[in-house]
Amino acid sequence: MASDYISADMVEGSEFPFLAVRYKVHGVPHTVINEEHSIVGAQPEMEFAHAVLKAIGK
Amino acid sequence: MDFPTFSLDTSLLEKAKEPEPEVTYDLLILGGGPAAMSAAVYATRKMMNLAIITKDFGGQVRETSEIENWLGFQSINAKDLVDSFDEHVKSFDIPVSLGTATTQVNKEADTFKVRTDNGKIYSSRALILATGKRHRPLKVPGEKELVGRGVAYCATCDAPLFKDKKVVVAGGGNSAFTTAIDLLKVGAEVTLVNFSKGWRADAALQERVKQTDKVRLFDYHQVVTIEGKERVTAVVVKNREDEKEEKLDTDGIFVEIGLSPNNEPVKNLVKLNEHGEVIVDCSCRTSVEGLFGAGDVTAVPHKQIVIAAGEGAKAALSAYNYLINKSLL
Amino acid sequence: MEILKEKDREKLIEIFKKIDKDVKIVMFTQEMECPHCEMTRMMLEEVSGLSDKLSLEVHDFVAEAELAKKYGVDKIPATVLFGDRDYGIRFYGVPAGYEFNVLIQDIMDVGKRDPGLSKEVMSELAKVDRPVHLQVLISPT
Repeated sequence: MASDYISADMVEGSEFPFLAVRYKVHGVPHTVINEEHSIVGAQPEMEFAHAVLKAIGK
Repeated sequence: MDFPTFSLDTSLLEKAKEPEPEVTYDLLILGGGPAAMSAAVYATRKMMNLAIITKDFGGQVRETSEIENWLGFQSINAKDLVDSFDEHVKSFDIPVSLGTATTQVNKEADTFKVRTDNGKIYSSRALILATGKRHRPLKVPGEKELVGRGVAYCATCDAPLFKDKKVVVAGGGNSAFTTAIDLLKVGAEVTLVNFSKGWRADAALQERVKQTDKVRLFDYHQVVTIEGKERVTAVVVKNREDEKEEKLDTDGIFVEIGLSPNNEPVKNLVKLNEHGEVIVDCSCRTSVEGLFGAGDVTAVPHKQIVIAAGEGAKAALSAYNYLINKSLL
Repeated sequence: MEILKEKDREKLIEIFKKIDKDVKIVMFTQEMECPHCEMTRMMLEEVSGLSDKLSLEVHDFVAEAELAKKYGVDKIPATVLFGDRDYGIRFYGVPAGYEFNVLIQDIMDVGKRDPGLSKEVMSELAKVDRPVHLQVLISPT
């Protein structure tokens, strides 16, 4: 909601195991940004914001 | 597959008001498990001005599923029990610093200063430490790097991810066997690796596990390293009898070798025993006046929910008496 | 069959009173409903009935493939939350356990048209100038 550019999917991993395999998920929560970058675990909001910016090269 | 039900957890939805750094509270409670929550109930009813600082509510109780020894219930679901504790505490409108851990506790004259990991400092005249315990790591190469990528500590949370996979479980007690059972339920191939000689788990659990043929048991073996680059691919174990090493191909390892007390904030302040637990007397007093301990973080001989709750109540009442006697209340 | 517990239903009615604006919940399932889709749909039907600010639309992933494609929905069950517009919030799979609370929180955030993030985080996110697709993988605990 914070940005019109950002969309977020909550994906229940055991129903869609191919995603857990594709993104090499071994612990949850596991957040994937733009199908490429990953953050493992629950992080403070600012960490997520920074990870998002890093993923788009900022 | 058994699905969890749709259940509301109000602590996740309604954010309680935050404590204020400018206020010197009568009592600060550090922690959010049964000891802390029980202390909160008792402290509120004594009309103390208090606040709670905790990462989350529930504590280790959240990692179990069914509880059969909480008085009044032949069997109760862990989540239902924690929810009921939660609701009771929430009914009092106590300020909570949620999602924060305490990093340091100091005492300046008669006031305790509590520093949290978000940089804030809170003050109080009395303090209850009820921070419980966390899982002990193996402290082997590869472990830290691969947490969340094959290295796990909580079967209730992560077992579903290892469906039909190969998993090593390090440990020989009840939690190792319970973890093995959780993993067998999702079709995993389990290898139990026990550092000491002889399996310590309850006979009933051992029986259940040994009955299946999907479990390999490595008694008196040490985990040497955890291998893998992006995720766990193997675990090297050493037979402690003949020193022979063996590499086990695996998709993950659950570390169930016991718990460490969360004593970091008071390590240099209060007397600890050889396990790092806070030494308390039967009034929950620690070696520092005005600082009380309750629950698993203390040296109380049995770590059980009902005992933690009892200790929490005692700690709150002791804190109250302390404040009254010192005319601080 | 009632999915939510009586006391949770009552609690939700109270909580939902804080919603100011309309929230549209759109769910994609299919005619040959698998158990997960059925569970999700039944839960959403109950939840949306607890406030007149909440509405539910159920669509068929197969029969209405165009619509699914428009919303970028590629798996079912899928739950999408709309406020004034599509915020890009999707739940894939059954939102149960912890996720159920996340769903309720998101409904509240959309209903208040406020994601509840700090000023500092909002200003960092304002720097985002191209599409960012987040996928949070969880397990049902």
